[in-house]
Amino acid sequence: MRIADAATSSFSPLSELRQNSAATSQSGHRAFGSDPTMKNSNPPDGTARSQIRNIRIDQLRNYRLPLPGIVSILHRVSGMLLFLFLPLVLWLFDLSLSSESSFDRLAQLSQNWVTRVVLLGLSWALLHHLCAGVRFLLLDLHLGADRVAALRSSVAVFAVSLSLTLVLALYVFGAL
Amino acid sequence: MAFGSRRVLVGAHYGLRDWLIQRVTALVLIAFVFLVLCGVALSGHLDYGAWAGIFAPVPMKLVSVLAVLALCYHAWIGVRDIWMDYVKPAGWRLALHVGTILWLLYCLVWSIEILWSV
Repeated sequence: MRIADAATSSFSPLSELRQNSAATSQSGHRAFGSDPTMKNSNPPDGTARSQIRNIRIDQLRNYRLPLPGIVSILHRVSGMLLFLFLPLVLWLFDLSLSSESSFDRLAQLSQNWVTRVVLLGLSWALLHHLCAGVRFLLLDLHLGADRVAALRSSVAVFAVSLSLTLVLALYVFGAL
Repeated sequence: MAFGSRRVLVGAHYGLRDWLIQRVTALVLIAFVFLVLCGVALSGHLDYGAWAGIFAPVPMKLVSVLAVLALCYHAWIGVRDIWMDYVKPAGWRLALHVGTILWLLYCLVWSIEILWSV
């Protein structure tokens, strides 16, 4: 229904999209990921439009992921880490709540530097996931969705999550 | 969901619902994190009594169970999306989906047990 409406109305989002894509490919900037509507839309002058495909795995090394992209993939990585370490967190939570003696055992465990490093890593994952998640929620509300603002907010995500992790690290290793 | 002659024939339409649920559960989790942080900040010196005291009142237990439910649903949607993006063989994907659901349900029941042991 919506596509039919768009095609018959005087202002068509699809044609708008094509014009934008044409403009970007003329300026030499190439987007990865293809729009299926572009396949048969060669320009009227007969020159074939270059095919745009997803990047292959061996092209990853040379592809410079922009900062918002790094925030995004790390959101995924940190989410997976939190999922995988959920049993460890629940076990520690259990130790902290069951009894006075298990609480003391947890306090003893946290003297071990391996435990400290693991917990710091999980703290980073939680902080990054939280900060990046708030940013995505704001983007969903169309707040800061333009390129400059999105770059700025991704810098802010790293600034907040990494500095809070650093503060935690200094606290855990007794420098604070 | 409409069946019979009113049934919508195109698309399962669970995409938007899951997208929305993931965001709603995210807000619940943010609120819960700040609730616990407030509890820690108000309790002063954090010994066992103070820490257990945060989770001891029944309303806090119920809120905690709500947060764990939100966490499990949130994690399910996120992890399922990761499997769907990277694991293409149907058998592997089904096994990972089932494993994820069982594991999250296990963690859910476990955390309810932990919360009610206080």
